[in-house]
Amino acid sequence: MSINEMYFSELLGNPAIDPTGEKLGVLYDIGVKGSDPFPEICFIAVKRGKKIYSVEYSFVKILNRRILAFNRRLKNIPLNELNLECLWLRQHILDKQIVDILGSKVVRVNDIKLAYYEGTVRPVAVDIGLLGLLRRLGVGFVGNKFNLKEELISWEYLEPIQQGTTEILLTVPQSKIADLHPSEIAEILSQLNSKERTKLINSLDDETLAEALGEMEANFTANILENLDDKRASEILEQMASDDVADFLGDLPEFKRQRFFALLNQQDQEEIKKLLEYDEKTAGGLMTKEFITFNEELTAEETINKLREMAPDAEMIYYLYVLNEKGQLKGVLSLRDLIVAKPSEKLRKIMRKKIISVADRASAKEVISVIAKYNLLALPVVDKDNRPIGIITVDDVMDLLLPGGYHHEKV
Amino acid sequence: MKKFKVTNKFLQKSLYILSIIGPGLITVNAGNDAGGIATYAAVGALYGYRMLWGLLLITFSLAVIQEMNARMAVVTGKGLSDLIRENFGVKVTFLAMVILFVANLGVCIGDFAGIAASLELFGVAKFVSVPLMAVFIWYIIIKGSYSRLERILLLFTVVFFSYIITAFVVKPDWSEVFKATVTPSIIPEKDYILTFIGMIGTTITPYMQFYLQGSIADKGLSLKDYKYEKLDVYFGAFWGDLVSFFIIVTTAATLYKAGIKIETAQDAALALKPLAGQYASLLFGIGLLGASILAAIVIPLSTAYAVTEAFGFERGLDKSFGEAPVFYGIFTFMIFISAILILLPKISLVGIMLATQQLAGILSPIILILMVLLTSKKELMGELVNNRLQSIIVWVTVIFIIILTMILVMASFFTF
Repeated sequence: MSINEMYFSELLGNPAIDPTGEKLGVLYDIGVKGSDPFPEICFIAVKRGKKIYSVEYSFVKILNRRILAFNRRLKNIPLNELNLECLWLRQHILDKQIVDILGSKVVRVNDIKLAYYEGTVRPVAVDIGLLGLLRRLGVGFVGNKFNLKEELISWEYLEPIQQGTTEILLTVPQSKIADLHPSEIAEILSQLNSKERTKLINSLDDETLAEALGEMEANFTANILENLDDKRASEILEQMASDDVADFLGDLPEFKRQRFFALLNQQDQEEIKKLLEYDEKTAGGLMTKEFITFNEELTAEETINKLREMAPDAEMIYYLYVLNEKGQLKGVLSLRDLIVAKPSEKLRKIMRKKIISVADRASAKEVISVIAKYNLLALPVVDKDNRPIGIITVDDVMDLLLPGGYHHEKV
Repeated sequence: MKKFKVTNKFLQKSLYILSIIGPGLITVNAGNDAGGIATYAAVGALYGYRMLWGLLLITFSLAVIQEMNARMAVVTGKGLSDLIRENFGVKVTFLAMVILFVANLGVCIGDFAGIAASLELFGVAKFVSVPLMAVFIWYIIIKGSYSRLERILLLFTVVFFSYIITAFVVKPDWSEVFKATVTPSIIPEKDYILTFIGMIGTTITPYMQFYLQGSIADKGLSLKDYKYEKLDVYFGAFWGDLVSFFIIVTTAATLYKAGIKIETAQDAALALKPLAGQYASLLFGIGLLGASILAAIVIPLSTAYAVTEAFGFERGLDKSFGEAPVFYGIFTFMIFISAILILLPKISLVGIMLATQQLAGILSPIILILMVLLTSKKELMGELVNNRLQSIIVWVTVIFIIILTMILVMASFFTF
């Protein structure tokens, strides 16, 4: 390790002395401020007996692995209360949890690396590895013997989840969270404790959270929704896909189900009620109510315009289902068919008339085999009058195919 | 779509119906595992009613201690290993985790002894039952499919309530029972103290503190719900120890009177004979088996979660072995080492169950000290910082256990 680098754990407890060798106490904490890209040290906290004082960093002459030396006599150094404006490495960072968003896991800060940057010592990275842990235990040599690699996260990537708080730090800017896959967000949420989880949840927008909840177990989803106020909970439920909501409600015990059901709007309540009536292992239980249908008399251009308006809500827009005026399923159209068609052509002319569909009581097994046989991304479910009542998307079927159900992903 | 398990929240989910009653109650019931039953049965059989006063005092300590866990969980939203790490740094955390690991490994061994003993009642040799159950338990854990099983196993343990009925059937001298409950008496001999520590160890187990705090923290209760949680915890402590009380009374009124010492599970089952007659072994076997399997699933898994959380290692059953080697390593090691130890020849199963509780009892003060320090921290607890009475009760408990342990150490010095 170069002389210019040191670990926070090596500094803690070092004697703090003035030029005459008089001892003020021992180094207890380091306060930092700003980030450009690394923060500057602004205060040093020194512990003397049971009291902790903070001293401005401008009074510090030497800060290294052996000592903390001031540049003037102790009597000329003002001692302050702990300054709460800055970020204290020990109090706020060391031993705390960090959400490693790229790795979608929750890790702990085992140590902090400091180094010279633009002439001054600054924290440059947090150590989240085993080596840091062993160093803290005083047996760092064990790690070196086994050639353990350092696991560092550069300070540049750290960001508090909410400005002004210090409790939970993220390894990528918070604005990026929304770009993560919902299942990654779900994974992170599942590893946080309840207070931290609440903070992260408050920072997510409704749509992102709704998608993430769709990836979680019912009880966990219920737990999260229960801790939101009713207004937000009902907005989130509205954003969730109807099959996810039905799955979620279906897995809850009766009294809880009632409570969440009441948060749904009228229209969703009816949809969900219908979905809940189906056995989970039938087409009706697998389907979602969000799909797109068009009247066969529309032209391609009208259809594209309409699609632009409504697409954001639907789960599947690659297949468009075409209905006659009685609402019966007459044909299907891929997005590609629609785009390459002449704008003035009616859907009736361009749609494919051979439709693959299943009845709502069809078994899951049948659904799987139909989807596999025809290589479909989605399969419409129809009632006895051939009216579409939902679609089953291929990702919902995938769950059934994995042995051991959805938690199975290993060994 | 892959759905995520609530990682360290497995209990809350799996004991779902029971979690409505409350984590406090579940924790104490889960604490009445193989070692617990063996200990209470032995207490009654060896010393009659003479340790009941201790149980009464422990119940107060237990209530206060578990209330501290509930309070920490509600105020901070964090588990105990989380808080220890964040407030005491790596070294103390390491110590706490070693203690938790050792104590839990002890309890886990005790539970495998319980599995072996209960199945022996049904005529299954331990060389058959233990390896099979070890593989079964490990498989259940990695499949993440213990939730339904857990409910069934908890139902099994309901048979221990038959001790309460038996206690009335055998018509003990209630005035004598009452007198013993309120009059402290100490017999200054090594076995008595050891048994006493075992009783503390099985009632106030380190594992229960981590487990209870974790399950309350995961509920994400707000401060205004705290008063209900407090009730739950107090009631749980009282109820759990009520069952223990009747086990002691029953074995005291039957085995102690008859001069039978508990050496095998068969002996403990004998206490139920006045009620269940020839079915006593059956009844006892079912309860012991359910309690043992339940604990043998929950304890290794909760240890793995606590340790990996404290050190920030990857964890969760949706990770692979390669991604989370420490997590998988811990519970796998605990299960199989327990199974192997039980299979060593010439070993007394009840002896193991008792010894593991004694170990847990000796180690518990260190965790209790950390808890009392945490709950006395104003920065952490805000207005809900410990009041004087709470601190006193816990310190008295801690000092009492330490003194007992010291007497024990000295006693073993002088007798050998």
